[in-house]
Amino acid sequence: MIGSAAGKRPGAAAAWESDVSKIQTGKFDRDAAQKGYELNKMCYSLNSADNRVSFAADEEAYCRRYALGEAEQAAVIARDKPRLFELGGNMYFLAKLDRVPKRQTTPM
Amino acid sequence: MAQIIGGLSTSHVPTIGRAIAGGKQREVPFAPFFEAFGPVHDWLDETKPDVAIVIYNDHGLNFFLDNMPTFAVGAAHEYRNADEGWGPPAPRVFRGAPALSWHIIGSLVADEFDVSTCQELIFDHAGITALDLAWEGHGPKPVAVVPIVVNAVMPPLPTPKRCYAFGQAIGRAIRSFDEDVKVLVIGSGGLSHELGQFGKINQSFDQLCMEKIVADPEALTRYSNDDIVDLAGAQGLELMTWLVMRGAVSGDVEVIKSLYFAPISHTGGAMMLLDNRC
Repeated sequence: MIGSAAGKRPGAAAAWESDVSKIQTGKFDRDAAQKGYELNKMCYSLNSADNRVSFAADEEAYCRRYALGEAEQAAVIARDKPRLFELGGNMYFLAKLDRVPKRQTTPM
Repeated sequence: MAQIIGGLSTSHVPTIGRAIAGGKQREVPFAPFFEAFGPVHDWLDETKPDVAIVIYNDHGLNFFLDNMPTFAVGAAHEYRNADEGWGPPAPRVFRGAPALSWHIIGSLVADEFDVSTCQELIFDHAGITALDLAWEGHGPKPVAVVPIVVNAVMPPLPTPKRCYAFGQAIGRAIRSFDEDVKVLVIGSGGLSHELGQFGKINQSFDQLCMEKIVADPEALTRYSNDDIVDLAGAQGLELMTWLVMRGAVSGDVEVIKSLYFAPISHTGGAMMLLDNRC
């Protein structure tokens, strides 16, 4: 296994050379770091109990405070993990979002 | 002079910390993982280290994407835990070893590892869980700590080769400290795993890592970071903490205890204690 993995190295792209358009799930790269900066910053803020209360009270308003766009807001509210990764979310910060209970919507 | 007496590496998934907090180590499905620390407790009772160097990756607690050091060394008089999103924890304080920290930082920079110096650092569960496994429970620890953080979050990440060399430099730094302290080097990180909904465990790769860490750590330095993500999942990069530990604990080692247990939560759980006194 060592041999095969080492063997494919010469052709393999370095971590920082990955394609902008294909942010592989979980493989956070420099493009994701830029694209997802505000999203991850919002998630990072959820370390604070007070911020979690504010977030839970009005998720949309809280996201706007962090200047998240509509796509980011929708993905956050839906807790749509694949979409959050596409938008540049980093798992270490998305984990903070996972720790906030998802809002229950009552069907009419 | 300071002496490195051994190296301990362990997984630190929050499930482990929750089991310790609830005193449920004997009840959880992964109880064998906790049982494996029995020989560690015996060994620590015998060897009585004064300081634990705790190498881990921050989990979005102390560091954000605004300032992300590749390697950061704590130089505080004490370190505290904090809310990581699960709710405010009972406050805990861990005694620092600032004189040793500053010595290590000076030695590392002279050795061309330009680390960040942290006179304040919130202590992540990754570091705390390792200490709570080594000295079971939430009581005060009989060691001072020097936290060392390896960036596993924002690329470009340090390569496995660089992490191993960093560990070797930490080893040189510790051994050149002019006080008679006994030092345990801890590497806290999971083997294969990927958080989120994509959990990934690669048991054969994990087993290979367990073997190579002991007998041939340089073999692991031939992987690229992307190789490791492909083989072991995005959070499999926490293997770097093991490589740093092994670099510091250089030369001949005796394996006191080693266990691979999968799954714990959705990771491959692993621990290893290496005696470096030979």
